[in-house]
Amino acid sequence: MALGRAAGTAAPPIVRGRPLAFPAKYGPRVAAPALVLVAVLSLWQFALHSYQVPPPLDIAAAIRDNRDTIWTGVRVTFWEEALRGYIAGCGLGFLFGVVCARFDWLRRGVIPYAVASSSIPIIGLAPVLIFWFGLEWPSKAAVVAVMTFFPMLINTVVGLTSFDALSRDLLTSYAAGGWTTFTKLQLPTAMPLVFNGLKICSVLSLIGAVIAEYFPGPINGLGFQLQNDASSGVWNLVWAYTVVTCLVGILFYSVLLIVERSVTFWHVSYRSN
Amino acid sequence: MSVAQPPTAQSVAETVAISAEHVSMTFQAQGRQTVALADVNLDVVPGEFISLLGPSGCGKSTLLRLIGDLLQPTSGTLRVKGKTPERARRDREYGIVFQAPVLYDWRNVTRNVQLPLEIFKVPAAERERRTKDLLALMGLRDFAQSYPWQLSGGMQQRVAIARALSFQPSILLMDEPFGALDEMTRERLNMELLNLWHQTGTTIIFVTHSIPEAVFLSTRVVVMTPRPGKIERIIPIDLPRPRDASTRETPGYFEYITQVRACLREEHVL
Repeated sequence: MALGRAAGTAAPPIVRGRPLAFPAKYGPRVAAPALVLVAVLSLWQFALHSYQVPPPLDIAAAIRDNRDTIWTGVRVTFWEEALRGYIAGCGLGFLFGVVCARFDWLRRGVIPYAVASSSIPIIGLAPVLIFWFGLEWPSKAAVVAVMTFFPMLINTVVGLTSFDALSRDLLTSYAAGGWTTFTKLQLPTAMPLVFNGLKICSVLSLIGAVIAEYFPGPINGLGFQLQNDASSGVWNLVWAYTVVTCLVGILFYSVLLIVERSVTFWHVSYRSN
Repeated sequence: MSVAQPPTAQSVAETVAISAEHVSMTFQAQGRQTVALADVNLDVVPGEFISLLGPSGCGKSTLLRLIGDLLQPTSGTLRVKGKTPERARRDREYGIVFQAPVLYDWRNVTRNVQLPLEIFKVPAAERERRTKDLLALMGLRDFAQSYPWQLSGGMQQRVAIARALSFQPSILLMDEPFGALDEMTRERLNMELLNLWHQTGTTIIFVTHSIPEAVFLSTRVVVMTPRPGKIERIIPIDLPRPRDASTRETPGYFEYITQVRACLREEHVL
């Protein structure tokens, strides 16, 4: 007798995903937020604006008229400062997280301080970092690296240690070593939290870079120009820089979201999609 | 599984698959000692189907974990094919099936079944061949590319059994593998397991708290009682084989069930 034949053929084949039905599938997901956006922008444009908060079309015009300066700002603030700091901070956070997950005493010793570190006003460190790394982008990137290090560390450690006991017992029964356990079990289990860390840090990195530019340094970044124009009351430009910074942040976050979906497609949060 | 264990190997080590001598296990938690197992003695012949039966807290899972070297006894000696449990584990003698399927969600069915083979560095071509055979054997052929979370509980447990069999271990340790399944699925998987056992000749240690399940499957039922966990009686089940659905309707089957129940009642477990 072929084992399980009856059950194997009786159950319906599993179809991944749902059939494409454009209005039903994308309608509420795309149309609803779009409508809200249009409503809010209209209200802002025609009813709710002041001298300090110019209407959206004025902001759009300011972005168009200053696109060269703004593009330079994006290059300096995002490309030179935020991204490099992000890679350094998240990279080191991940690596140190791996070490902490490996050594229990280190984890117990470090995690409470890593959690507490979120209350440190990182900005207080900016002058120190300028003293160490100079006025150019490295000191700004260092602020970003310090800001992103701890969230990444915590997410990595928790992720790497959140596998269940039976999954480990299974590998133990195969006499699997530490490296095998790490690659086959811990790393895949950690991915949802690792991406959680990467996403949080993507937002933090832009905030960090903009704020770091409030201190002495490059005069063409978004943060510097924002502060400069705010002190001279050029509100159109202040909002132009703010909106562009938001857009860069959203773009950065979205790229991570796409990568995350392809890596952690199996996780509960994505299965239904 | 294409190859059955050859019954010709007759070395001393192989006349007894598993032996436990005066095995005790004491857990220490918050300064309190709990005796999980007290003085357990058991010999298992190769190719036997042994059920460890008893209520919660009787130490049946603990005994299974001791055999599988997932725990180490406080005192006493365990031998598996003449070796220490640790040696046997390192020699990959054990296929383990837990109550939960413990499948890795990021691997599809095929890759879950191949997990031990990857770890044992079995060449890819050989991995593919064995997986194909096993999935066919377990009625999972149409689900080779599915992910665990797309399968029913019974299907998932089948994948877990296929994974345990993939490297042809000589001993199958099963810890209430069908405990979380509905009655119908459980009876069907019981049948499939018996067929597998006939084909492979694997020694099976099977933990359960279902009396009918234990009687139906086993060559011997080890009845265990709690506080402290110990073996109360070992009841050989001499029902004819191969057993099938009609076995569950024979007088002999009911007599054994009555016998096991009586044993548990004597100990005030029932």
